[in-house]
Amino acid sequence: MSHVHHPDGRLRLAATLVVSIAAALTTSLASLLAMFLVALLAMIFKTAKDKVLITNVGRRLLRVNAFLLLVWITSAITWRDIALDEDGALFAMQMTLRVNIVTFAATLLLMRMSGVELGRAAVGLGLPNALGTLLAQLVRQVALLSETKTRLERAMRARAYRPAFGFRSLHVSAQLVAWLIIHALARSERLSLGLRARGMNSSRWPVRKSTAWRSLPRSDWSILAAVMLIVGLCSFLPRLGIPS
Amino acid sequence: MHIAEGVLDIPTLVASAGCTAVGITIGLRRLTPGTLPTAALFAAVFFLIGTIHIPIGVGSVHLILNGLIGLLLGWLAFPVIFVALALQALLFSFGGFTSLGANTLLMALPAVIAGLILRPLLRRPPSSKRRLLAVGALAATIGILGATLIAATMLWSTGGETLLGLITLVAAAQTPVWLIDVIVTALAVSMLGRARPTAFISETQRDV
Repeated sequence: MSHVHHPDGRLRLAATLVVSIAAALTTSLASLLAMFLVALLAMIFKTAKDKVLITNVGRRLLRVNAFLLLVWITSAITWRDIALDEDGALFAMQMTLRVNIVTFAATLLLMRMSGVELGRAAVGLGLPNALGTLLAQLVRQVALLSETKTRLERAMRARAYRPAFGFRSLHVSAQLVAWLIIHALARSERLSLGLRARGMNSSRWPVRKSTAWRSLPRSDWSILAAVMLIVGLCSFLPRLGIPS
Repeated sequence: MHIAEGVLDIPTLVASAGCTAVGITIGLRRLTPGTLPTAALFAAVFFLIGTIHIPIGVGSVHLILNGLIGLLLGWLAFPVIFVALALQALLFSFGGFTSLGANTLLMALPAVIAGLILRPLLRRPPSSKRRLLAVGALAATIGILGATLIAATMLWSTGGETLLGLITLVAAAQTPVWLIDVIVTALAVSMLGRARPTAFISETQRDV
């Protein structure tokens, strides 16, 4: 265990999927509200002292809730007689709670996970090796190509280009896209030649073995166990006679 | 165009994930360690294209260009779009992990259809500028209209008539995106066709 220990990616991803699937399966408002409150409290506890995190989470919430506002406007109100549509409002409320629960859970559980870690975690949970390797390579290539994109955009600005709505902007954007693809093709040719020059023509995918499940510390497992316990308790609420 | 997590119901999520799994399986048959760098680079291009914004009034729209990706990659569009969307979900919370199958399907299926229909028209370079522009515009139309149609079907299967208003609004909001994608894809295909005519050959031919 390193000094700054992050729990195993597979368990964090599995816990996120458990919350997402449980939220999608739950229709009881009491259960969804309980899950939402737990997720909200956990988020407040985690972000209380981190201003950067508050900003990031705030942006994410703003984006998903802007879409939910449209759901409320179009589904929960009968505009012909300006009245509340009960079925629509129930549907919109369920969707609002679900989306916010999953956003909180994904933010909390996958915090500080890199793309490469995500690929390894997903492969550890059964994703084909080829997709895991592709995801890891994507992270590398995004870093390299975004430098190229920044250089191209700097050159565009140096020629007094300012984005605005008009044919000129669309033409310049198309040039940027074409240049990015040409750079990508040229780079892929160089990479293929380099790989072949090193004799790397194997048909096997490179795989880095994950830590054995049995070797994972108990603290890592406790995250998944806690998530499953909370989800289970929340799902059990309607059976205790709490109205849904 | 991303469907957020928590929006679709379980049957829709399972059905779309199943369709995506089939598409990815076909795509992975064309992916070898030799073609991997090319696929990763195109996934990076698709990822970065999403960060190019075109201002419209006080707001802006970002490019999708799934039709262009289909023209360049064919069936490889499925795994490439899948990993790019997974990274977007992780870094920016666009979409999500349980809706990854649905989001991949609505972007990649029209891309593959555009590739299957239109790539043969670009196989024998040099193509005329008019043909390149027409193919690009058609690819973008298939890409955006196909994605809108699939998203509408998914929302309908989840909410039925309750979500009819939302479906209409989402479809209407795609009109400027479609127009912008048509112009940008047409111009980009025209430029690529003249600068790198081999860009549109199949992914397996490209590696050898």
